[in-house]
Formats: sequence, C-alpha cells, structure tokens
Amino acid sequence: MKTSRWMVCRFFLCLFSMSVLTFGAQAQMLSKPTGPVVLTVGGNISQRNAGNFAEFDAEMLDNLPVTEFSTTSPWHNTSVIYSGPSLSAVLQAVGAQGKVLNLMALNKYEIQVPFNDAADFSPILARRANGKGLVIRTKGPLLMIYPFDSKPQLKNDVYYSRSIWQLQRIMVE
Amino acid sequence: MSAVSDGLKVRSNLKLGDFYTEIKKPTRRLLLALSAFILIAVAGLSWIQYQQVSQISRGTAQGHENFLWEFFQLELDLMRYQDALRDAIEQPDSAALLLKASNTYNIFASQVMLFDAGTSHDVMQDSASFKQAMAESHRYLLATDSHLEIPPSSLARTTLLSLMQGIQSLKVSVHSLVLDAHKLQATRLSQMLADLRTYANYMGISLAFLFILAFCFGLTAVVQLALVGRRQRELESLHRVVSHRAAHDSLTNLVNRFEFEKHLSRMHDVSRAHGVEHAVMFVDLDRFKIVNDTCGHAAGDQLLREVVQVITQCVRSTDTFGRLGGDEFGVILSNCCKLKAAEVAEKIRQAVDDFRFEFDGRRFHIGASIGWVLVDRNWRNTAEILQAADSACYIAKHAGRNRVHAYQDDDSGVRALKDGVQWVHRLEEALDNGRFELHWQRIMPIQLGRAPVGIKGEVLLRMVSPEGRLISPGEFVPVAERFFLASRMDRWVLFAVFDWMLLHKTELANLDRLAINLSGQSLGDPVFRTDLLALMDRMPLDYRKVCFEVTETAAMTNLSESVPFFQELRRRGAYIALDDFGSGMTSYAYLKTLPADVLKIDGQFMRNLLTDPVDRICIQSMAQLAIVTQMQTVAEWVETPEVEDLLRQLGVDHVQGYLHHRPAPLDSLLGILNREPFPV
Repeated sequence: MKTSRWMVCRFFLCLFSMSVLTFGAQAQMLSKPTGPVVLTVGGNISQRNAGNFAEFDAEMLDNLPVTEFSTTSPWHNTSVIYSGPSLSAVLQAVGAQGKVLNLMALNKYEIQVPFNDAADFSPILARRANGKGLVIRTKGPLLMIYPFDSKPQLKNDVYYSRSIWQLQRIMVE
Repeated sequence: MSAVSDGLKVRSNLKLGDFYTEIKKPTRRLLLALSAFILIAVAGLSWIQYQQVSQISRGTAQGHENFLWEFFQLELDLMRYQDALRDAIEQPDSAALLLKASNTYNIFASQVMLFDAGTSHDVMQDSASFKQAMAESHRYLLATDSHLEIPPSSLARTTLLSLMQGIQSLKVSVHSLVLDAHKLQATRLSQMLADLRTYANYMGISLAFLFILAFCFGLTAVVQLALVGRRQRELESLHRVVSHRAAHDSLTNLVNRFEFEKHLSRMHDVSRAHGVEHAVMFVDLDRFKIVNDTCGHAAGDQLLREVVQVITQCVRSTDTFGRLGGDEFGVILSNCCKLKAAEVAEKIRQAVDDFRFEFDGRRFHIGASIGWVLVDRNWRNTAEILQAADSACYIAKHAGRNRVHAYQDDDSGVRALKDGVQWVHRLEEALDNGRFELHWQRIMPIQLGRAPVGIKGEVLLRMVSPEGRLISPGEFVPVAERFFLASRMDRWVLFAVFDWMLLHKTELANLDRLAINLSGQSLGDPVFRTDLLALMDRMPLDYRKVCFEVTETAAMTNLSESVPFFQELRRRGAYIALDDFGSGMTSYAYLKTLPADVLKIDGQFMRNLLTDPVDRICIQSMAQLAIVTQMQTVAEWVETPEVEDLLRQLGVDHVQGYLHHRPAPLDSLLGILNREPFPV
C-alpha cells in the first residue's frame, strides 16, 4: 500500500514539473509598451498585452533578437544594410499560429503573406537602414524586407509586393 | 476437275509494315519529309507561342500594365493628409491630431520620394503632368517640412491654414497626374488587348496551317494506302493467275503433270493413312500424230481440246484430270474400287473410240490406250505408282492400241518392260563407250547380162557386250527405238562409216554402194536431219557410194519432212532405199511421191516363196512397179539358189542373204574389194 501511494504522488509531481517546463519554453510573458505603439499584432496569437492585441513599442522591438543583412531592392540603387527583429521572432513573441498573415501599413495598404514565409525566407521587420533609424519618410518605422540577394529566387514581383513598408499591424489568420 | 493448287492460297492479313514497304520510295520520302516538317512546325509554333504567353504573363505579373494604383495611392495619401490637417486646424492644441497630420504628411512625402527614386512606372516619368505634380510636391514639401516632418507639439492655426492653402494647387496637379496615368493605362490596356487579339489571330493562323499540313499528310497517307491496297489486290489477282498457269496446261486448262503428281501424292497419303483405294490411269491417244502431221499443229490442238471434252464426260467432278504431256493424259479416280476403275477406263476408251474428229472436211478416228493402276497403301511412293500406270499404258498400246490394261504385280508385259529398261542402261553404256562394231553384208546382182558396176553391201551394227560377245540388232534396236535412243545410235553409225570410208578412200574404187540404215526417229528429228546434211557437206566423200535405207513406215510417217530431206540427200549424190517394203502399210501411191532409188523387199516374202503363189505375185508386182518407177529392187533373206532363181525370173535385181554372204566385219570388205579388182 505504501509503495502505491508513493507512486501516485510521484506521478503528480512529474506532471506538475512538465507543465511548468512546457509553459516556460513557449514564450515569455509580453510586457506592456511604454512608448508610442509601433506595431500591433492580433488574430490567432497566445500572448496579448492590450485586449485582444499584442502591442509593441520601439523598445520592445529592439529587445527582440536583431537580425541584419545587406541586400539590394527595387527601391534603392545600391545595397543597403537592414537590421531589426525577424518576422519569426515577432510571431514567436506573440505565440502566433496560423496560415496567413494580413499586414497593413500606415496608409491602410494591406497585403497577405503566407505564414510560412517567416520560417522559409527569414524576412525581417527592419528598424534601421545603414545604421539609421527608419522613420515614416524613409519607409519606417517598420519595413518588412526579404534577403533578396542571399535568396535570388525571391527577386520577383511576388516578394517585392510582400515587402510592405510603414508596417503598422499584423493579423494572424 | 479439281484444280488443286496450294498456289491459289494468297497472302492476307497484311501488317502496317507491309503497307509501308509497298509505298513507293519517293512517296515514302515525301511522307517522311512532311512528317518531319510538321514536327518542326509544331515545335517552332509551340516555342513562339510559349514565348508570347510568357511575355504576356510576365508583363501581367510585374504589374507593368497596372501602374495606376501608385498614383491613386499618392492622391489618397494627399487627401488623408488634407483630412488630418483639417482636423488639426479645428483643434490646433491637440497633440494627437498634430501627430496624425505629421504622420499622414510624412506618408505623402515618402510616396513622393518613392517617385523621386525612379521606382514609379517609367512611362510616366517624362509626362508633363508627372513633372508638374513632382515640382508642385517638392515645392510644398520644402515649405512644409520645417513644420510637420517632425511631429510638433503645437502649431499656430495660421500656419496650419497656410499649409492647407498650399494643398489646393498640389491637389489639382496630383489629380491631373492621376487622370493622365488613367488615360495612359487605358491606352496600355488597349494595346495589351490588341496584342492579345494579334496573338489569338496568330494562334488561329498557326492552327489553320497545322490543320492544313495534317490534312495534307492524312490525305497523302490515305491516297497511298488506297494505292497500296489496289496494288495489293492486283498482285493477288496476278498471283492467282500465275499460280493457275503454273499448275495448269494452257491448251486444255487441265492440271499439268507437276500438279497431277502433287495431287496423286496427297491421295496416296490418304490411302496410306485411312486405307482408302483410288485409281490412277494414263490415257495415251492413238493416231494423234497422224492428225498432227497431216493437218498441222492447230488441228492437233483442236483435237486435244475436243478429246478432253469427251473424257471429261466420263469422270466425276471430284476426280483429277490432267494433261501429262503431248497426247498423254492422266486421271485420278478418288475413292474408287477395282471394278469401278475398270468400268471408267472402258467407258473412256469407248467414248474416245466413238469420237470422230473432223477438221478441214476430213474425219479422223482416234483411239485411246489406257493403263490403270489401283492406289492403295501397298505402294511405297508415287513414283512407283506413276511408273506402273505408265507401264500399263505402254502395254495397252503395244498390245494393239485402243484397249485398256490394268496393272498387276505379276504382269508379264511389265516384266518385259522392266527388261527393256535394263537394256536401255546397257545401250547407253555402249553408246557412251563406243562398244559397237560395224559389219556388212553383201548385196549381189542376179540379173545376167547387165554391166558390172562394183560391189554393193549393207552396213550392219553389232553391239559388243562387256564380256566381248556380239549382240545382233534384233535384240537392241527395238529397245533403242522404244526408248528414243535410235537417233543417237544412227549418229554413231554415220560417224563411224564416214570415218571408215574416209580412211580407206583410195581402196573403195570398186565399191558401188554401201547402204546405211536410218531410223524413223532420226528421220523425224529436224536436228538430226540438219546435222547429217552438214556432216556430208563437211566430209569429202563420194556420196554416190552411199545409200540411206529407210523403212517405208518411217518414210511415210514423216512424209512432209522426208521428201525434201531425201531430195537433199540425193542432191549430194546419195541413194535412198525403202527398207522392209511390203511389211508395213504399203501404199503404192506414196512411191510416186517418194524420191527413192531402191526398193528392198521384206524378207518375210522369201520364206514360203517357192510354195506360196501370193508371195510370188506380190514380189512380181513390186518388181514391175520398181521397173516402172525406175527403181532397183533388192530381195532380203535369200538363203537358197532356188529362191534366187525364182526372184531372177520375177524380175528382182539383187539379193541379200546367207546364200551369198554372211555378215562380216566391215574391214573384210576391203579384202573383197582388193580380191575382185574388177567388178563382177
């Protein structure tokens, strides 16, 4: 009898430990933005900080892992070094799951991007170009850009049109 | 009559490959070239169309034909900025509204900068409205950047109003840019539609062209296949005709010997397998040669056709009736017993016997000698059956013609025939090896008081057996005649005698005449006749010392050829003697037309001459006839002085026989010529 009681206790202990570990591995709790909101993510996400949405200010975005690459694009004659959090880092931060991302710019321009693009082509939400912070005038504050030079298969109108600038909102569907 | 022939079977179930090989080579090349051309044309057109479709789809994907939205976006951004500015003018102290105005302004500015970077559609870069709008925009940005590029915390209402005022003229130029872009896009779309229409037309023409090519190809192929089919039918028809001709006799349309033997072989196989009995008969026409010789070959052909009709009436349609050669026919009676076969054979014989052939107002009576044999499983092969039927026919013919003879295993006639065949081998061997000897027998003049003219004689032939024994002509001449070796034998004799005469030319002064026998076969052989005349022309001999003896039957059988031939021989000095006169179908009438010099009275008249008054009268009449026709007479087989005396009285000129001279080797003549230098 003693043995079986001990085994039941041990089973529940294990179950508790596993659930704690799993929860910790999924995502860190999203903090509240302190500055002006730069990016809003909604839809099928697990981490929210403003009702049904997850909002990011510049600091929160800068706290995410930064990716940097240099590429040419149709909008610049020379190669430009872009840096900022990768799309996948942002999506992971909000625990996004889905098939399509609905991206919207400040001027209400909208474009749909497959969810897998984030993992397949590693686009970033650029915050800086050649070290200078992007502002609205320079397609900021967030410019989603694909690494066109390292992945030449992306050099076509499909991916050029997905490179949305003045990104404001992401809806995960 | 069953025209059984495997040759009638024709090819069928032709494969496509056969048709292909049947197509003429130039047409085949044309079809191949056409196929290659169609393939190349299809490949080329497909490539061109692929290029065009790619170009159109590429243009569509790149949005080259849909650039209007960029200018709409510019105008929209300007209008949003104008709205935000208007809100800010209403509440100049609201930082949020000023931020919104600044943001919308910067969005508009970023759009203008985008055009500055040259990323807008090239086609608008040079247009006046674009330049105007850009100039206006830059002027406005220059004036506004200091106020709104960075979101202000506050701005004087008058400043905001002046910014709003500046928008009015900018709006006009941006709107005209949008209208121009709209117009240009409409033009571009029309152009694209026109391109699509051209492409569609081009597609249509290409398809029509391909269709025409394919149609031509199909038509050519169909025409060729039709031609091949027709040619095939013609070939099949020709094949049928050729097969029929190969298996049939053209004159009578009966199966020929080859086909007959094939059919017999099949029947024999059936007999051996199932024990069924059949009968084979050989039908040989009697007196056919007389018709042929007297009325010509056309009559002979006509006779054969009519006889075929007569015999056809006597056999069943399931029997095989064939022409085996000249005037020889064969009949295979299928499923026929002995009794029935004998009945049919007799029926045929009777029908031919009753038949009268009329030609050119003359009537001929034709007979048929028929030999038949029963085909059963005892025969080893068809060659034996054919030989047996042939033997039976031969026996029927030699038994007096116009009769039927059935073959039997223990047939004495057949045995004799087999002996004859053995003789043929011996004769041929003797001819090949020259195993003959020339002998002679003297012919003595018996009429007293006539001027002596020299020694006369007849050359006789002896065959030397391998053992060295001499064989008299009575044994081998009939065989030679029966198996058509007489002519060859005559040649040997002629060469030998002429050579001998040439060798002893100087010793033959006392020779009056040396007689040489010519067979009926030689007389009827045009090649032999020509060769003999050529030989005489070639050899320098005094042919007045040569006399050719021909039997009256042989001379009369080949009358049309004999007369000119005799004349030719006489022209060269030679004499002609009618041998065995009185033994055959003696016709005094022929004596008038035959250019002969000597009449040799057959020996059979001498046997009973002393006692038989008929023989005496016969010889007397022949002698008198000879006197009238200026011919000399020679009586054969004279063996007693009494006969000779009587012949002298009857007016016969010469005698030949054992009374005066027994046959001796030819060289012995030289001794007599020397011994009797002066003719008796």
